[in-house]
Amino acid sequence: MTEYILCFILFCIGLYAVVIKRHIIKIIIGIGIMEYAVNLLFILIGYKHGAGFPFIEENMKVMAGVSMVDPLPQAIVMISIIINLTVVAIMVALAVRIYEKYGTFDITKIKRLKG
Amino acid sequence: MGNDNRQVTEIRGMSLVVKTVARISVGMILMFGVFTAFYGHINTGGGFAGGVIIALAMILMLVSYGRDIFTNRFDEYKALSFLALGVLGFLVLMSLGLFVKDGYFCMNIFDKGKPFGLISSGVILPSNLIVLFAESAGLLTIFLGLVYFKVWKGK
Amino acid sequence: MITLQVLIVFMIIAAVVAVEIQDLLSSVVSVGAIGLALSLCFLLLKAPDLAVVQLVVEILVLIILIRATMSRDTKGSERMRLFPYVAGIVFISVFTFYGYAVLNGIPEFGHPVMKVSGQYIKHALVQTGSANVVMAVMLDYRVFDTLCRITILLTAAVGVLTVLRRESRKKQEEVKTDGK
Repeated sequence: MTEYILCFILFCIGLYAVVIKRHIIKIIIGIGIMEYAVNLLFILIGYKHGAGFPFIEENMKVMAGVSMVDPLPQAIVMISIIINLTVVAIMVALAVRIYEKYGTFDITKIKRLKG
Repeated sequence: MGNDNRQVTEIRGMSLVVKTVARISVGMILMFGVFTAFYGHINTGGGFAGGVIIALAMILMLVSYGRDIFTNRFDEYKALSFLALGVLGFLVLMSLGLFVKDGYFCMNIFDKGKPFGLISSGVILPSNLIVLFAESAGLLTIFLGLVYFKVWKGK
Repeated sequence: MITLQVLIVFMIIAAVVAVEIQDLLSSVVSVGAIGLALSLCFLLLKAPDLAVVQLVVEILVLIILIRATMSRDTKGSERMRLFPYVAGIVFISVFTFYGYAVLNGIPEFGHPVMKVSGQYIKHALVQTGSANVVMAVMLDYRVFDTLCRITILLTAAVGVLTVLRRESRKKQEEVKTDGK
């Protein structure tokens, strides 16, 4: 149970960075921390005490979920990890473009809407 | 002082030690990435990890030798066409199930083979290879787009 | 598991450092430390596929973030604003309320439910022929998610190249008509 609470605290740190900070790169880092916390929570839910890797070895009698950790959250989190990489990449591209146009990363100074 | 008439040749990239080590190790990194993708149905990793490893090998060469190593022959738009070819190949592979009687989209139609062998598991092995190709091309596109971005004057 | 709890506490400390420190390069290095500790957590939680993927993706995220932050300024305005702190307290309290409700509902740590995954493990080798159950789930039972991932990659690559375009099309035509 403490692992879940620590995972929620990690998510709250990311949420604090997104809402309160005014530097665009800090906001991107906050979104990245939230992504880490969510992936960790999925794998924490799927863990089983005393079980092995989700691999089938030779000469192994496989019954329904006897001695392996849950493979379904692992497949979903693997896709989530690489999607998060793509999202961070496009956020950084937008941040670089904003810097070249406005000369600053401070979100309180990026107010002009002219093209 | 005016013009100095000096010829300044800019040496791009890193030092000679880094260049030599990068040139030696990039082949091994590429081979490890392809191995991870080929044995995805037996060992850890799969197409996604292999694709990212191959993209990292290209980034190693780009960072060690400077950004001019790719420019004339391979800019980011050519990498984008490779990515589009990879996506098209994946769609074609998944549509092969529609031409079989009682087939459906994304059906595992190839022969399952002997378990724990290399050529086994039906459509999973070609899927891993196409995902390797598409993933490495896509990540290389994104990285080249970030590297080559310059502000053009007089906009 | 005590090692797992120590690793998550390390991730929390590194996250606080990454968010609060003024120098951008140190901030990015702390993000790398969080990713490495997360890869170790995945290894402790018996997920080797994820440990490999998290490690290489973390390196790529570090390279992209450093590209954005090198030789850029870091100073911000000194005026304190009240509205973000109020919004932050509201969001974190809403999250804490729902987090507490979730903690009563999810299964205890170490005893997962595994209704669907039991069937996946039982039939993976016979139905798909693959020994890696995670790959069998990702590329046979749930192959639509992989198809969606590849589509997202194509969209994001086109998006990045559009945002970071080098020359506009009109300028290329002007150059052509001038130099003919």
